[in-house]
Amino acid sequence: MTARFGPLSALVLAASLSHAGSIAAQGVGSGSPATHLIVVTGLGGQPEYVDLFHVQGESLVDAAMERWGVPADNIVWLAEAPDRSPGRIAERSTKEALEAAILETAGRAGPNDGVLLVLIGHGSGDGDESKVNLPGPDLTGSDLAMSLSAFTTQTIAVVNTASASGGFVQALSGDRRIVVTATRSPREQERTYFASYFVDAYLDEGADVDKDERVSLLEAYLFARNEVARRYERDNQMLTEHAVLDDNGDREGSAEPGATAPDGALAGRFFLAAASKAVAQQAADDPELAALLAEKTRIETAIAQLRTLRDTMDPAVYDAELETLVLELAATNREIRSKGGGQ
Amino acid sequence: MNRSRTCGIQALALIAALALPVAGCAQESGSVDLAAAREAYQTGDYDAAVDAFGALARRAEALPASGRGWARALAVTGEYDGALEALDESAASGASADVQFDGMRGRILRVLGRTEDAEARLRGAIAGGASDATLARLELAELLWDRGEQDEAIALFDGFIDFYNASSDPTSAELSAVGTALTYLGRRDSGLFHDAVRAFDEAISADPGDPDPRVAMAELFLSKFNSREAGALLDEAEARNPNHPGALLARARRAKFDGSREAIDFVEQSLEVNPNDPDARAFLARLYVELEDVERAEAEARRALEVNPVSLAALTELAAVAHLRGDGQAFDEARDRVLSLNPTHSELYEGLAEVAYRTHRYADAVEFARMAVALDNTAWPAYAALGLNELRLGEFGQGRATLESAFAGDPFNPWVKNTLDLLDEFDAFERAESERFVFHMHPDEAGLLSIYAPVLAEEAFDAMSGRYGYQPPTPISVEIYDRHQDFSVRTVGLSGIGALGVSFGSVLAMDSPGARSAGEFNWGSTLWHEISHAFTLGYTDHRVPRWLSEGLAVLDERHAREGWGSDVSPGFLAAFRDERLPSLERFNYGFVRPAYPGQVQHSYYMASLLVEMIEEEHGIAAIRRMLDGYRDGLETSAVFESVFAEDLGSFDARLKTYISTRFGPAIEALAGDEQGGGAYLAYLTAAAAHQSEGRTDQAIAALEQARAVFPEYAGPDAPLLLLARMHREEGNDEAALEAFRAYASLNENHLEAHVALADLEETVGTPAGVRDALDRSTWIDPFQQELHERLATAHEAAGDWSAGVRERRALLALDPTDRARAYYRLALALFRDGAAAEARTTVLRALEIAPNYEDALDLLIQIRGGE
Repeated sequence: MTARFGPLSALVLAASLSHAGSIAAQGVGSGSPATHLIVVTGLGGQPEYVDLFHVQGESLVDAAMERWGVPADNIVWLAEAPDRSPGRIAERSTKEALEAAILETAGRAGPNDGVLLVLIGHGSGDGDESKVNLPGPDLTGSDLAMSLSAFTTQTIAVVNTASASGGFVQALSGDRRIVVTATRSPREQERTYFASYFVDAYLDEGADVDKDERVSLLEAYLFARNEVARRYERDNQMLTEHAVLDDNGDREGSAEPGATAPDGALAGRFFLAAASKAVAQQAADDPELAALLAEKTRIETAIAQLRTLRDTMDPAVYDAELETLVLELAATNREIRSKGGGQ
Repeated sequence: MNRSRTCGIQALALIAALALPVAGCAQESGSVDLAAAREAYQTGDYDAAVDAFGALARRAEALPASGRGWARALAVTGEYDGALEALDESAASGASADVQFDGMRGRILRVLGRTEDAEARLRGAIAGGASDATLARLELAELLWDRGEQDEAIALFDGFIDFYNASSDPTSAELSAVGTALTYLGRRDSGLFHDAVRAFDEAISADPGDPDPRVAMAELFLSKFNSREAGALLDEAEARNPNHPGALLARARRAKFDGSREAIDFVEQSLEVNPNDPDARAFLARLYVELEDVERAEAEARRALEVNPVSLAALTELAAVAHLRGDGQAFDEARDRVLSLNPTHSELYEGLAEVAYRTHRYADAVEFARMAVALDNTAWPAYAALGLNELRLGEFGQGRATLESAFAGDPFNPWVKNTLDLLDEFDAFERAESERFVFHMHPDEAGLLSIYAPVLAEEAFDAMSGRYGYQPPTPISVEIYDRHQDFSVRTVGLSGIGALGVSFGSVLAMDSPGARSAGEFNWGSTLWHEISHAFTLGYTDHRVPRWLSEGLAVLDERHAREGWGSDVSPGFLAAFRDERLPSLERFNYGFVRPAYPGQVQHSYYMASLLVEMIEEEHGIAAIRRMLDGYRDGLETSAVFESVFAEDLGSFDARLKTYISTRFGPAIEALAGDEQGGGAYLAYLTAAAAHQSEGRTDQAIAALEQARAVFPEYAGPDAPLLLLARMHREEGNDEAALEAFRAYASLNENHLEAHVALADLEETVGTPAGVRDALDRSTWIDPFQQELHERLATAHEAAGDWSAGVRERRALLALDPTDRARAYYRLALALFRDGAAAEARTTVLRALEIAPNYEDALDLLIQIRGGE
């Protein structure tokens, strides 16, 4: 399978470089952080779910490789029926196989790497505990917490898209942890649509709300949450899945995370997009390009600061200042492109 | 009231009550006969009761109970003179003092309106220490109350608390009297209603076989708006006595409360038992008044007055009739008569306020309700009516204050409670204005709805101004509720109303498209419909009858957009064929007291056909002349006579011919034969059979036949829609397009059909068709982002950037996840539409979210370059 980059990939990568705090998309050279993806598609039960989970898992893996440049070696896909995609599915998605995959990933991940673990399937709730239905024993949050302790320095994002998944927040919340669940508690046991839209977030254009040509985990979460709500509304159904995100380690998921909310800051810097060593190297070799990238960062920071003052400013003055800054940014971006940044 | 009385005492009272008939004369044969007579009376075998009581009284046995029972058994069927004679005959035996019969005499004389005689007898019974003096005291108190002598009445009612506390073995009737007295006292202390309920409960326990306390308690619950409890008690009462006229009357009141069509049936049943009950006659008159059937109403009121010339209830109905007729002199006479009998009878104005509300004269309702509270500052129902009608006039501040007063005085009123709760929510509503309208919408929906509603409303205003040659008072206030229950509370004070919108004149309220499932209604046609009411109500000073206002509103819908207001259905034609639709003379019955489920909807359509026929034959000028006539106070027959020189019967016949001609083939095809079902059904059945066996061509042919006989039908099971889907499945886009176009031209609510039509128009390359189908869809469900995206793209592709701006605004109002893109696309449309300044600020909103958004940056540079 060949990685596919669109014509704007240069800007994507340049932008990736500009966010000093981004996870799995920073640094230079062989020690630069990378993104690792583990996808687990659990038991489907009925044929329609078997197919659905398989397609969702496959789509996410494809998007990671083709759109976001995650190396195939950094991806592990465990599925109910490995023979449906021989060579792509690493193992049957048993709890043991997942534990082994986690250990294997931990063994090769760099200290600053990011790991995204996505669980797709049916879930169930037992008191405050959530389980994902896998071939063989189910996976609980506690099981997973134990396995993930193998990652001692990396940032870990766990996305449990299953029904009744809310208990995973309590079980997994912690430092350097982002936990997304499709439901806010183990008691929301109806089937969920979250997985479908979460995968779409990495496939479609709509999730990239800040148009930086990347989709942060926060953006993917918000996209999926909004689209789930819209679907229920369109179908005139009562919303039975309330997704939450926790990334401040307080064991409380937020339905409305954001960059300035209690939860969301870490997820806003977590990307599936891989760093381009070539671009990073180019910037390191070209001081002019490096300066331009630094200037771009400065302007973006100024815009962010201006936004915080919006409510205190005269609207016309605010717009004028904003306009000045974005035009500066446009000019800087053009210069970066003219320098071949990212090409 | 002493609340220490225990269940043990209730039990004692029960034992005493049961034992009383026997205990007094346990060994006398009369006691057995008296029990049998009472049994006959309580079970509604009034003839047997008359015979049994009469036989005892004539033998001078078990007096005075037998004599009183004899009179009661006669009076309950309206034989008041006979009842008085029975009392005289009982007294004449000398076995019991004459004064023992004065309480019952007073009661009967009061029913007959011989108030002074009644008072004398009642006072006599009390002073003479009659064994039923407690009951006489209640009767006297009520008499005084009805005469406006409230202080003395209250003192007497108050005495019942002392009676209750002091009495160790009250009878069921006495406990019931306590309950009634407490009901009156409850006007000044709402907490006493609980004690009244308790007293009635004890009365029931004291004589479980007597339905009277249950009926009295049911009336109390009804007065406190508790239909369910009232219904349960009436069920019990009627199980014991199906002929109880009071229970049947209470049943009728409950049916009215519930908006049931059975109210008239129940009151007529009551009158079959007692044709001389002035209260039942007056209530029947009220039902007719609300139907705007003033002739019947007047007749019933006058029949009540024949029995009781001073019946306040009947005189109130006469005043209401006069008001509806615009007959000031008759109104003044009836009003003055009531107030001369009882200067504080606030129920007069309460009743008039209710009638005014029911007949859509909200300003009158406010005026009457104000008069009611001016007469009696404890008239809590009048406060409620005043507050609710002030709100209907859009007087929110005053209305809220009045309702707060009403709630303080009577916290049981759910209309008041619900409306006050709603007002709290309404405070958060957002306001949007256009030239002649003010809109109030929930903040979650205001952004979207304010894009469409003002434009449509202004269009409607212009269209109707021209049509009617009149403009209603502006601004017209439009409240759009995001939850149906809120709209329902706004309209009738309770949840559960089936309507989509309501017009109080220049104050309109309606469901938002978000209040119901997509496809349940068209919010554009609903808005248009309610605006039409604002015109016809305003034009006629709120005197237009319901049927005409509704008929014109539906016809106005049809004039507004293809497919709006086209509601002919097999059910309507079957009802027409079976003559189940009311005649012109009783048109309002179909709206106010529908005779069968669905009749209201049928009545809307029928009325629209009538006015359509009139407009076709005589033009809009004739409609205006009709409205002139109603405004001037003419009744329907006079309006038709003056405008068309034709009586109602003749007009009605022509309407039937009009409908028969217009829908002739369909009516014929729907008509069943001996085997049941008509040709239409046969075609549909055949189509289903062919389809299930894979004979698609034959199924289509059968559906075409069904369509041919009833081409106007566009319900969800219409052959036209089935054909369209089938053609589409078969890949016959041309035929599917034709069928979907035809269907969409008749159906205003079917979202799937409109989207399918848009898809097909796109497939065959008719962009105007795409835009049209999608434009219509926004009036069915404006909350679908996909539809607005398609529509925006379609308008932009056609170079209609103005429409593109509208749709881009809608998309933004729907709070898309990708707001940067939404701002950018709106900015682009604005720029193309020539609104560079707004385009600039809008694209900055996109860049504020996404500073690196290349397309937006390019547009900003382009805008600046343009400047």
